[in-house]
Order: sequence, then C-alpha cells, then structure tokens
Amino acid sequence: MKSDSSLSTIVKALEEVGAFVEEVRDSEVYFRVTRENVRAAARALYSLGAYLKTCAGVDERELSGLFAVYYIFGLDDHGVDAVLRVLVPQDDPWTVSVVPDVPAADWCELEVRDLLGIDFRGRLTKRLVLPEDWPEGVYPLRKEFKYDEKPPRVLREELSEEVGIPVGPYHPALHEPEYFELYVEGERVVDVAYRGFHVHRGIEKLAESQRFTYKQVPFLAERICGICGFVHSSCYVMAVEKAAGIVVPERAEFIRSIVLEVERLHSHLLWLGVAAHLLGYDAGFMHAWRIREQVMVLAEYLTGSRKTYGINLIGGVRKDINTEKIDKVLKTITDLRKEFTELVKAMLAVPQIKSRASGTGVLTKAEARALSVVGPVARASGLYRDVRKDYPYLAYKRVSFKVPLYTEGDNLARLLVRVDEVFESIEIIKQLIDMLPGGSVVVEEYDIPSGRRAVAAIEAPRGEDVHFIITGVGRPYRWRVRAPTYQNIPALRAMLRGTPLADAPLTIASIDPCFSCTDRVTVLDVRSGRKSFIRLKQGV
Amino acid sequence: MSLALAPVYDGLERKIRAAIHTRIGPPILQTWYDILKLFTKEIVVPVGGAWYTLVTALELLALIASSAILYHISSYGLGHATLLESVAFIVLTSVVATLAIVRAVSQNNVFSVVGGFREFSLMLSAEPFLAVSFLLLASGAGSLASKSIATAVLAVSSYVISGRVPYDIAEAEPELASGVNIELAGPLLGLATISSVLKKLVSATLTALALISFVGLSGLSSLTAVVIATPVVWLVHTVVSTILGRSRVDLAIRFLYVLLFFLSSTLVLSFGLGL
Repeated sequence: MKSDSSLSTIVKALEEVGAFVEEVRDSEVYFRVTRENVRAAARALYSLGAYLKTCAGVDERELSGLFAVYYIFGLDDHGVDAVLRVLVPQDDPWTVSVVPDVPAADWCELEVRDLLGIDFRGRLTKRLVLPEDWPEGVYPLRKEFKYDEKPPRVLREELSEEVGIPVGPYHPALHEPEYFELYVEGERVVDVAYRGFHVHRGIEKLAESQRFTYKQVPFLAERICGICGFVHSSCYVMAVEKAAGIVVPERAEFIRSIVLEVERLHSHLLWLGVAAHLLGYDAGFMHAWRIREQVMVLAEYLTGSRKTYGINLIGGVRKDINTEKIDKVLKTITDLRKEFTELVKAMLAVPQIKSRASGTGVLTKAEARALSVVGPVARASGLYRDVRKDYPYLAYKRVSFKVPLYTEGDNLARLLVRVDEVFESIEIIKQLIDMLPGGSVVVEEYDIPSGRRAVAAIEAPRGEDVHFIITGVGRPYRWRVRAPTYQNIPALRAMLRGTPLADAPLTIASIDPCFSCTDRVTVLDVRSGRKSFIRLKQGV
Repeated sequence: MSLALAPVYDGLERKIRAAIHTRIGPPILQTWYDILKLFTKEIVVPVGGAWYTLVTALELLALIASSAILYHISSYGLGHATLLESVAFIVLTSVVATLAIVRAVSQNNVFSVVGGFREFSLMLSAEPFLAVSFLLLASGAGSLASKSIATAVLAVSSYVISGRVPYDIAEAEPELASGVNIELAGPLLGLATISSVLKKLVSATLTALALISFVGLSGLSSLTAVVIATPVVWLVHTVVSTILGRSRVDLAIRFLYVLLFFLSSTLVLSFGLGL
C-alpha cells in the first residue's frame, strides 16, 4: 500500500455507502457489503479510479452457512486491492449486479451464476460457461458437487444443420475453439457476437478436490496456458505465500522474475510472428520465430523445459542459476537484442504492415477504462497500467524500466507496445542478473493455516493475471483464476466494429488471445435483411 | 512445355522463398508431387456440380491457350505480333479472370464468394492497363521512352494478375480460409493448382517478352531468350512477394490506380510530346 491516506480515502468512500472493513492484509482491504448496497459500493470504487480485476463466487456454507460473491477491485494509483464481499443466503440466492456501473463484471457475474447458482438482478443474464446440454439446477462449484461427477445430459432439440449467423465470411486464423459471428456490410464489420468456453476444463474445481494438495497445484496451474503457464504457477504460489505469510528467499524471487521475463520474450516474439503471418508477411513470421528459438533454448537451459517449466514451489523454486547459466543468459539476450532490432526495422519498413495496422481495431481510452482491459491492450489505448509498477512484486521493485504507452488504441499501437516491451524485458533481465543475490532458493518448512484469503497479480505477456485464494486444509478451499484474455475479449466488440473484414483476424489477434477457430459461419445481407446460410458441414 | 515447366518454377519459388525465410524448404519438384497426389484422390464435386467442373476445366484451357499465344509471339518478337494474336491474347486473359470469378461465386460458400468479388475488383483495376500496354507494345509504335513506360505498366499489371502477395487477397488464407479455393479438394484442387501456377507463368512470360523486345531479337533466338528470361522474371516476382505483406482490397486498388494512372499519364504525355 502506497500510504495510510490511500487506505483512509478508500474506507471513507465505502463506509458512506454502507460497507465496512472486514480485514486489512498487506495491500488488500476486505469490505463486507450487503447485496442491496453492492452496486453503490462498486460505483464508489470506480469513481476512485478502481479497475475491476475479477469477481468470484464462493460456496462458504461450510464456513458461514452462506454463499459469498467477492468483487476484487484494483486501485492502481494507490497500489491497493479493495475486495467487496457480498454474503448471499442459500435459500434465496440472489444479489444485485454491478454491471450497469462496472461493465467489466459482465462475464464473471455470469460465471458465478452458472457455476454457483447465484442470480444477479438488474442485468440481462444468459448461460456463459456451462455447455448447452448441462441440466438446470446443477452447479459445479457448490461443495456437494464432486469434481469428477458427470450429471446426465439434457437432450435438447437437435441443432439445425443450418446455423443462422449474420454476414460472415470469417476465419479467425488461430487454433483454439472460439466462435465469433461477424456481421458484415460489404467488407466492413458492423457488429460482433462471441461465444467461448468450449473447452472449460474445471481446473479451479479440480484444485479443490482430494486429488490435489497445495504442493501439486503449481503444476496444475502451469497447465492453464501453453504459452504463459509460468505466470499462472507463479501467481498461484504468490497467492498462497501471501495468505500463509511465507517469506520467500530473495534469490528465488529474482529467479522467478528472470524466468517470467524470459517467458514474456518468447510470448511477444511468438505473437509478432503470428501478426506478420496474418498480414501476409511470412518472412517476418519465420524470422520472428527463428529469433524466438534462442529464447526457447535459454528457457530449457535455465529450467529444464522449453515450456511448462515446472520450477515453482510454494516457498521458492526448484532450480538455481549458477555462473555458467548467467553467462549464457547474458550472451543470449545480447544476441537477441541485435537480431530483434533488425527484425523490427525490416517489419516496420513493409508498407502493408503499417497501412493495415494503423487506424484499425481502435479501442478508445474510455472504452478501455470501462472494460478494465489489461496489458498491452490497455497500454496501447493510453492507460498506464502495469502490475509490475502498480503493485511491485517479486524482484520488480528492484529494477528500473519504462512502461510503453501509446494513445492511438489501434492494432499498430498494440504491436509497438509489444515491440517496446521486448527491449524492456531484455534490460530487466540484465539488471536482475547483475543484482542476483546469494542464499537459498526455497523455504522448506512452512505452515498454511486455513481460512486465509489473498489476491495475487502478475503482469503476464497478455496483461494482468489474477489469482484469488481462500486457504483450506491441505488444499485451497477456493481458487479463482482470472487470465488476462478473459478481461480483454469483451473489448473485441468495440475494436471490431467498423474495422475492414480483412483486418478482423489481426484485430482479434491483437489482444494476443488464447483461442481460435471452430468456425460455423453464415451470411446476412444487412441491406436487404435477407439471410442465407452455410451448412455446418461446410464449416472451416 | 508450359504445363511441365510452371510447377517446376513454382517449386523453385518455394525453395527461394524458404531460403529467404532461413528454412530448408520443399524439394523443387514438390508442386508436381502435390499435383500428382491430388489427382490420385477421389473426386469431390462441390455444390454446383458439372457446371463448376466445366468452368474449372475451361479456365485451365484458356490459360494454356494464352500461354501458347505468348510463346508463338515470342518466336518473332512482341513488336511484330498481329492484331488478331494480340486481341486473342487479351480476350483469353479476360476469359481466364472471368471464369475464375464465376468459379468462385458459383460456390455456396461465403468465403469463396467474397474471394471472388475481391478477384473481380482486382481484375477491373489491372486488366484494362494490361490490355492497353500490351496492344501498344504489340503494335511496335512509339519511342524507346514510351515503350519503357508501357513495359512498366505491363509488368505491374501482369504481376497483379499472378495473384501473388500483396495481391493474393482473393485467396488470403488467414482471412478467408483459402477464399476462392475453399471448396476444392482432390483432382479439382489439382486443376486449380495447375491454373494458379500457369497464371504465374503467363505473368512472368509476358514481362519477359516485353523486356526481350527491347533487344530486337527474332526467330528462335527470340523464343530462346524469352524462355530463359521467364524464370528470371519469376525469380524477381518471388523476391518481391516475399519481402512484402498482403494488402487489403481497398488499399490495393487505391495503390494500383495511383501507380498505373501515373505511368499511363506519363505514357500518353510521352506520345504527345513525341518522346
């Protein structure tokens, strides 16, 4: 927390709307608020400049006999997380929605509704996460629901072979199951609908099950993402360490920070390659990935794996860095800087890159603020947001670096933010290596009391990654993960409207999402209103 | 000869592109292997049936004919082509483009339809310039300066019809999931692949023919020079397409109009001033 006055400002504002302080821990303040007052409390926080990080539903019936909804707000300027806890009786499970004032809460409220059965009043509701054949009244995040339970499928009317989706044609070009409906007039997108969560894996529920213990969850967390998995395992262990008050050796913090930056380098280089490919500049794609290969080799050298490093433990890390490794890191990042400079120079000299990325996929600062977008998406729209600066964690408090900021909010701005961040990451790694302290890399003995709460956040390559934990006995009682893409996808609607169809794939890719294409597309002539269809079998 | 050589040149293109990408790349005969393999697959006829197959076959025939005319003209030089030969070539080029569009929009697939309309926009932008510059060069009229400008117009417009980056917008794999080719498989895709490489061959031969006409060769030596210059032009096309990105239909047309109008105005001016 940056100062005591920050805390008093926040407390005063919330007490005026009927909330009261439950607990103050490090940089987190927990408030209790009634379900009738939660909207006013959220509005008060928003007016103080807070961003919504996420919300989480918790089945606290074993603890208090009630359900609870946690709204986690981050006040970047104060370096404080303000958490609103709303208690909901199990026999009348509803609360007031904050969405009219905080649009960023749209998805997480729907997720709480799907998974815990708490209704939200004052907003439109629909099924978001659960599949269509999931039965009504079965809520998988309730404690009585077993992690491996398979409820009977509900037979619904068979889907028509023809799916009505207004004017395609569209192919998102990345390779995970997400589904966009682009409404197109000529070659211009006029509206967008999104359907995701096709492969919801129930990881949060799994971590609460008998199959997992605190020590095993980091390896599960690392499998949340194939590109920035280390971010998730780091964020999980940080949340547990924070909740349990475990002091991690400084050397371990440095090692985690170095590996996090190595992960950012490979992720941004991967993205640059994909962006070049989407723009038809395959030479850029190939060279970006050629350069990236050095980073992958370095990661393997440092951790034993090219990806899914698996070195995080609660209390530290499994792998140390010796002098030989330090030399290798320095040589690799020096070569990388040289080659990356040449690549960027060549890429930005390609006329089609600039002409197609400029002025397309624009997200204004106001839209970015309303949706609480994170990472390069936020910074390209003029929001100065970077967890490493706003809530300094691990070894980032020891290093000096710039946060790239652009105001155009277009695809080019997001590209340039990532380019600048590669250079900054290289500098951060150099500084961390220079200052690497001695000592052990892990705490062997620790205790994790149950009933503790903590929020941890890490600046992932795609933006702020948030993990919220309530400790249990031997394993988390509740573990909530909010990946950055979750926060950024809702912004795509604003970004895609008015964008040329040809630039839609680039615009979608510009948030660096984890998804792709199960494309079932249809056609509507928006001028005549006449619909035509393509069959599911014809899908791409 | 065109049918045999075009896939080989395409294989060479893939090899050179791979070298620029710092990849090993496929064997030079890979395009041939691909085509042969496609012809061993079962025939899958998209919605449109026999009509669709007929259009694909006619497109290929028109390409073979236009290629044959170009080699025929090569045997005595572009400046000596008869009006009938010139007009026949222009008509065949337009027929190829029209059939490609008909093939694309006749499919019951929006990706293909959008690709077809993109092809149509490009054709409208490039074909008139190609026709005029070709007729001018074939007539043998004009000074060295005006011929040079006409050659430049011909080179740009023929590059556009080759469908390479930045003008591969009708196919645009990441945007339209292969666009005009999305419904094709097996032997039909094989035919479309041959058409595609023949288009590239016609494009390269056209520019080679215009360039060789400056040397003033005739007979077998002219034909030999064009045959040798064609892969060189193809190589230049390869490098250009590798170092550029894909354009967008509106940007592509705007750029083409600006460039071709500038060159054409200069051409008219040079004629007017008797340069």
